Amino acid sequence: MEEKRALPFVAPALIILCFVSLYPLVQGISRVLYSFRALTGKNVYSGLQNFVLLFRDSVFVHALLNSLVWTVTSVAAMFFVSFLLATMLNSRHLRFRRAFRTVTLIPWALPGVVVSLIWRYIFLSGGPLNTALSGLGVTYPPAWLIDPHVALWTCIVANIWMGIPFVTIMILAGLQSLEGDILEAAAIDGASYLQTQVRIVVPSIKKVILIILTLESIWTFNSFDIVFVLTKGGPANASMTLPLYAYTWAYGSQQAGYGAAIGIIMLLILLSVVVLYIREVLQ
Amino acid sequence: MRRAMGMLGMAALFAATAAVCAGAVTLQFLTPAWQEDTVTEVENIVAEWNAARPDIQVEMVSVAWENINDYLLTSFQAGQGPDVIHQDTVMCYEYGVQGYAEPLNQYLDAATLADTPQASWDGVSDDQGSIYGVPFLQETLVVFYNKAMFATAGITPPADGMVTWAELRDYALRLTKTDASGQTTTWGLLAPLEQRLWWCLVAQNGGQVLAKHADGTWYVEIDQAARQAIEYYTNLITVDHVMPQDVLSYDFTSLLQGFKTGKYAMFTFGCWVRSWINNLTQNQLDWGMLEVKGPVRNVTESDPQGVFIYSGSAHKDEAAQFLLYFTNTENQARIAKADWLFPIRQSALARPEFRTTQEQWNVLYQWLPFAEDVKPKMFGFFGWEWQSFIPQIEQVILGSKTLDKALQAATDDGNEYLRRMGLQ
Repeated sequence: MEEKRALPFVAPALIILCFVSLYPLVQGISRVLYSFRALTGKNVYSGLQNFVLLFRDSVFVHALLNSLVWTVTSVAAMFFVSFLLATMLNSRHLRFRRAFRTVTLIPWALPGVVVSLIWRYIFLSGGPLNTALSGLGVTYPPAWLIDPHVALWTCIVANIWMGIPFVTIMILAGLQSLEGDILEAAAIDGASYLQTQVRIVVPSIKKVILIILTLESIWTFNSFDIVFVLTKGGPANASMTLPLYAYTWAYGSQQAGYGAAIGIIMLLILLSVVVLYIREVLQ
Repeated sequence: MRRAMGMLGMAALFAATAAVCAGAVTLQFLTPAWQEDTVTEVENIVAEWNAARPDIQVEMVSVAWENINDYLLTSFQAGQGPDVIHQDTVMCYEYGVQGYAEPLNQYLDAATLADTPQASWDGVSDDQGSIYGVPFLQETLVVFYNKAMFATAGITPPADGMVTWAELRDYALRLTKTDASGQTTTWGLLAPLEQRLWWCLVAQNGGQVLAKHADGTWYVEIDQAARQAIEYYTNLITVDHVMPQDVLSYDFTSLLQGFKTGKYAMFTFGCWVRSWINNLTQNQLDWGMLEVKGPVRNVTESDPQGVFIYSGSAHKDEAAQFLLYFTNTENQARIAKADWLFPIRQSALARPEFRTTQEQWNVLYQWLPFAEDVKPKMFGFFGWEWQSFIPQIEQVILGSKTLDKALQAATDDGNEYLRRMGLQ
């Protein structure tokens, strides 16, 4: 009865949500069934051919692995560094706490492309980082954007820097919701710093951590701007990730169907993350 | 001048107000013009048009070269493209094939057709003869060099500035300097991969990478002449060590800064970069230009730009009127001069400002007959190049693949790409 009464109030939002969310999804899925034929300039029905091609495509497999490495390492590092930062910012002994909290937010307030351009400048062969390394006596500093073994990690560093503020603020909010008595009791009982963090703090803010990890995993997996500006997926596809690869096919080669097929694989991967999250929350 | 522009602006404002009252047509004109002088000149031309034609008002929309295609594809898919669009000529053709660019044959009179070389029209036409754009700007790919460094190295370039492949390599070898630790302090040459010197070299050697069957389908077949050209380019990095791996990922400002400070003795770029060198060095750096002479023929990349009309425009006739005005002799000359490029219309090109010794226009003018679009006119060329070909060349440059293996992979991957695109 209650639900029936609520329906008219929810309906407008549901309709808008369907329009802006479901409609593009259905459009995207329907695109997968078509391939662009350049000789005629027409999109022709090709069934599931785009998916068949996808799994024969070595660059796709490489981009998929890169995306997993990119997401797992970025989110893990973001969480670890942010946890330390948030603990520090939560400390009553830290002077100028408010100023530090404001400063921490700055990278998050900058547009992704601006951050990427700044990092690109820093990582250039003759950029400030390599100039500093040369000054310190490193004869052959790494070619951050050119070395295929380094390029993806360079992008990951920039991504971590950009993601830290949000994660820090979220963890800080979780820490501030903790009762001081619990921590004091742990201290009286002789728990070490590490024991307190692992056995008391983390379990206490588990729900906050879960939502942070889920959101950051989705955002990082879908992230496009940093890799695009820093390396464009190169050299020789070494830092290619799935969103960039989908863009390359959809816009660079005008194969929207193939780009959509990559998008659907990404959606399935992210759905599994969301399912894991929901299962944990329901428990 | 300022007063005149002010009056023109006022006139345009009055015209626009009158136009709104009279229910005039308003066209959107999308342009990626970005250099300050060029933007000003385009704005002036649009303002003059608006003042003279209250019935057809033009609204200028700016977009960056880097994302103009994303912008257009998204707009076209939504059925809301701008009416008149300034783009690379190769994209005029591609959008024409897809049905997004309107055939212009009915709007082009015999005088306009005759004033532009046939090769330029071919670049924007399909096999059935539909013309999808009006080519209006071109350039030449040149080698910029530091005259003081040349003098120190005892290099005297030929009077006409045309150097052979062997001479260019010899200059680069003599100009490259290392310090006591073996680290390179001056690179002889920097030819960024995306500036396509290597494509020019392939054309100069009479080579073939992409070819077209009689039925219109395409295939990748890299012949010996093309292999020689690509090997010459990659050897400059991997064997001669006169060019850094930075060719893979360069930064425009750092490149110019490097030229100014002597990090790069020579670099290749389009001729419009002259304005940037002058601005950056405050005319304090003595620099010159060279053109690479081909073993088989002389070719340099012209990278032509054109203007086309969106087929979904509700005001095609009015758009055509503005397009023809925008690309007329006077306006082509004005925009080309402001952009440090050359017009394509022969009547505009004949004007004396493109042959003056000031800013070395005369040096470039002598090489203009060699300028052509070296990129094969294949739909999806850029996608093919960056998805299947360049990654292989990058691996040669990085030393992770031999040239033979890379070219074999480029052939296999390239043909696979063409099949996917429906070009085979």
